[in-house]
Amino acid sequence: CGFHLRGNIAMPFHTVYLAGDENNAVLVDLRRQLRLNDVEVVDTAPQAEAVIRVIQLRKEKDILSLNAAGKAREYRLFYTLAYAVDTPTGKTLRAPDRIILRRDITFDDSQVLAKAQEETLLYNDMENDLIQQLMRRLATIKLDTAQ
Amino acid sequence: EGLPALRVDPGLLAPNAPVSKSAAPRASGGEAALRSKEGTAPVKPAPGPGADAAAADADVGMTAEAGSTVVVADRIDGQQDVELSAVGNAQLVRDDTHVRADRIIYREVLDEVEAIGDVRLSRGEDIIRSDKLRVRLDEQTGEVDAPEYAFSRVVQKQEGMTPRTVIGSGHADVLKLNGENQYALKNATWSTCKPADPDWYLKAGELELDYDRELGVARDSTVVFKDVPIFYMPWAEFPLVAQRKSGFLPPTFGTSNKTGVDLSVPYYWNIAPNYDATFVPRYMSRRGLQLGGEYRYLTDDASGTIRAEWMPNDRVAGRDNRAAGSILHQQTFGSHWSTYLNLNGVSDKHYLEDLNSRLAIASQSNLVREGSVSYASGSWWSATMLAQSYQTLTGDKPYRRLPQLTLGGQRPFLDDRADFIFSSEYVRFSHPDPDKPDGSRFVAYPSVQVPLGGTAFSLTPKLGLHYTRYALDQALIGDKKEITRTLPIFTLDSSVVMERDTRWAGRDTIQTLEPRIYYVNIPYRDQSAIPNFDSGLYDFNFAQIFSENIFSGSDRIANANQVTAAVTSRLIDSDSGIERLRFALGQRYYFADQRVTLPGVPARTGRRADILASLDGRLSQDFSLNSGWQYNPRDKITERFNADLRYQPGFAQVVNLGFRYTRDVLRDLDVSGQWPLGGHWYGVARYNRSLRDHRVTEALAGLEYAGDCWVFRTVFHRFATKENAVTQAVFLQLELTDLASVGSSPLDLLRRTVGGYGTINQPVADPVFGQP
Repeated sequence: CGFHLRGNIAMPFHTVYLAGDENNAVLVDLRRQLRLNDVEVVDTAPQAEAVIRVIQLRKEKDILSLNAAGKAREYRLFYTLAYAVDTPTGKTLRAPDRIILRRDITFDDSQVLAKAQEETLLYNDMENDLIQQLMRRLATIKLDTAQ
Repeated sequence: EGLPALRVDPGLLAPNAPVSKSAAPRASGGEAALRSKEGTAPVKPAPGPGADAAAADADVGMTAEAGSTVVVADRIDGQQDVELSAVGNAQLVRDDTHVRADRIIYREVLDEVEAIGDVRLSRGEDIIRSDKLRVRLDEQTGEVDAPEYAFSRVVQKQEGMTPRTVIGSGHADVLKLNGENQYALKNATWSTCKPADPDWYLKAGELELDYDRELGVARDSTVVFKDVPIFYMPWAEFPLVAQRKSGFLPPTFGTSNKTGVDLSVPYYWNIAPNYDATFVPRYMSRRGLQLGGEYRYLTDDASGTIRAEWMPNDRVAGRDNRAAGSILHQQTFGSHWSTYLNLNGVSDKHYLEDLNSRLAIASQSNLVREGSVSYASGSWWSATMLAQSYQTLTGDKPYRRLPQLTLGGQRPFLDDRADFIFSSEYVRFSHPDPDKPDGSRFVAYPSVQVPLGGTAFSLTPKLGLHYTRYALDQALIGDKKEITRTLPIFTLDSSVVMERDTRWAGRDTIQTLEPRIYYVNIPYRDQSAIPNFDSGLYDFNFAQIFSENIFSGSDRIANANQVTAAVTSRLIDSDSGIERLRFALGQRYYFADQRVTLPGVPARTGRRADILASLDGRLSQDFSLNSGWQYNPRDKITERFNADLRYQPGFAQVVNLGFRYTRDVLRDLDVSGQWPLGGHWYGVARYNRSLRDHRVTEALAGLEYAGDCWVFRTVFHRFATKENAVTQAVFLQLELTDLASVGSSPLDLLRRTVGGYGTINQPVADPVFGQP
């Protein structure tokens, strides 16, 4: 059926600078993923071939459905990652772009603590998904098309 | 000296040869003025023959060297250094200042231009028309009689957004130029509408426009809409280029069965680029007056929002001092320490449903009060201290965590061939009800995982030891107050990633096929003597089937000997890497019965767990789908099903069709959309019906009218608040584009309620900062 085993994701750069809150779990994981794909994460922007700017990491929560008493019965969780990729001299390699993921979670007033921990599980799951999708997008950048 | 060079460009004069000849016999001063003062300024080449016609309406062809002045006219005479008079199609250019008039007099010593008759002054993006003006060019000071003006600025609200031009225009009795970017006007109007016949304008006895601070100040001003004065303000500040500026936000007028007539007039105070405040006086005809306020701040290392509402007296409830408040604060100290505070409270349990028509808050039963301090080592471990309690409005009260301490981390070792993972927690649980058991719990869970395989194939065994120790204040069973539980946990996670190149919707696409098998083994321990502080059964979903425990929290760890098999297939755009569509299918097989349960919840029966399937993404250019299905093969019944189909062919054109089903819990139909109705009108609606309870849980219908420079919206909203009670409300709002242009409650409501809702006027300045 034409499927073949995937090799390494060939990244278009070998050195990259990550701009954003370095202690954020998403950036920590992104750094690890970049290293696994043979990209060195350097300490200053001028050393890098590309600068990945994490512009926004936002978690949101909307009511999805209500019960008969008008209380939330399901929530929809959103996780937004906005990023841009530039050259160290400020030319655009990838204009600001965003990835928005969502997961639904049931809610129960009598299980507030349990549901809060379940939310954490879903956000962690989304974080992995965000990084995977971001890596796919980064791999399509072409360094010679900077504007 | 200091004055720029004056130069009449002979090249420019050349096409008007007969006229310049007529100037020639005039006084010698006229001849002198034809020369550059320094005698060195280069002469611009003459424009093409077409340039004259074009110059009649624009400044095409009229350019001057930086700092020098060019005058052109049918006839020029005068005296060098004193006064130069240009008559007939007169034009003067200095840098980006262009003056055109029937007659222009230039006094070089004063650097002053006087223009008379059909005057048009343009400077950069600003255009002023009048019959008479007198301006000092370099100082940019002067006075214009009875001007009409249009000032344009390009606004880019945020990185990545399309820039747009905001044009403020109007007319006045007198306009004074007070230096670069500063205008003071008498008996003036100002509007962002098209200048000819503005739908609305601001009329002011005195008006100051400061384009450095992008701020307008109006005194003795009236807002006129469709020739009807609607709002008088003795003093008002307003934004000139749709930035965050202090001023009144669009008032919201409405009525609801809870409040009666409901009028809010928010005032926005832009204190500094990183501080702002909003004051919201709100009048409710049935209940009385409410004062609300919000203060926000953002610094390099801290951000937060403080909100408060207060009612001195509520006539319906017969209570004094009803209030609500919240504090949200985040701060980092250096690169290691950070802190977080989230406090919420209301004066009484019915406050939110009585007074707050914002459903998102009214539907909460528990208001959290928590604060934490975290330490991130920067290498591999981190620690957190949390204190948390709740204000419960209805229903069961949650346990308080006073405090919770956690310590965890992940560290590679053996040359990155293995990971050491550690998590630990100490919690002191206390319950507001004395009959619920209090106690403390300590958990430590060290584990080691060894990732084998490469990028396409991976196999990760993980072995850990989960240790828990309880110290209960009262025993649940017998005298068991001290309980320990030790469990080895083994998991084996394996996956393969395969790909192929294909085409999807006319584009080069990578399709993946990702089978994954996940095995978990946890022995059984009797946990019936352990109270349930924070455990619950996870929803059955793709995140849960790849986790070790079927329970959240640490009070129950289910015995497990089970394998989960799943396959995911994605369609990824080859050019952009964007994931277009994802299909997933999974199921779990149990080799052991469930023996660990939550109090009052029966154990699972059967060896085969439900089948999960999901399809998410864009089906075509206009259609997207999010769907999930949970099927119980033992009883051949659907446990859960949801599908959200969205059709969005263009801006402000969206239809959402949703169906949500959970066996014995909910069966909901949810339809929403926004659609242009023609003639500037847009309709917006949502209908959410519980088919199980035969009840409308939420309904919304709205109409919006998008004028050139204003938007009117009216929204009817109805939602369930109790088993047999609803709140119904109607909002009306008039938004004058760029005058008072920040989001307000009906807009928030529409955005939240109708997925894919597009704000029908131009994107406006949003007072939310730090959020691109």
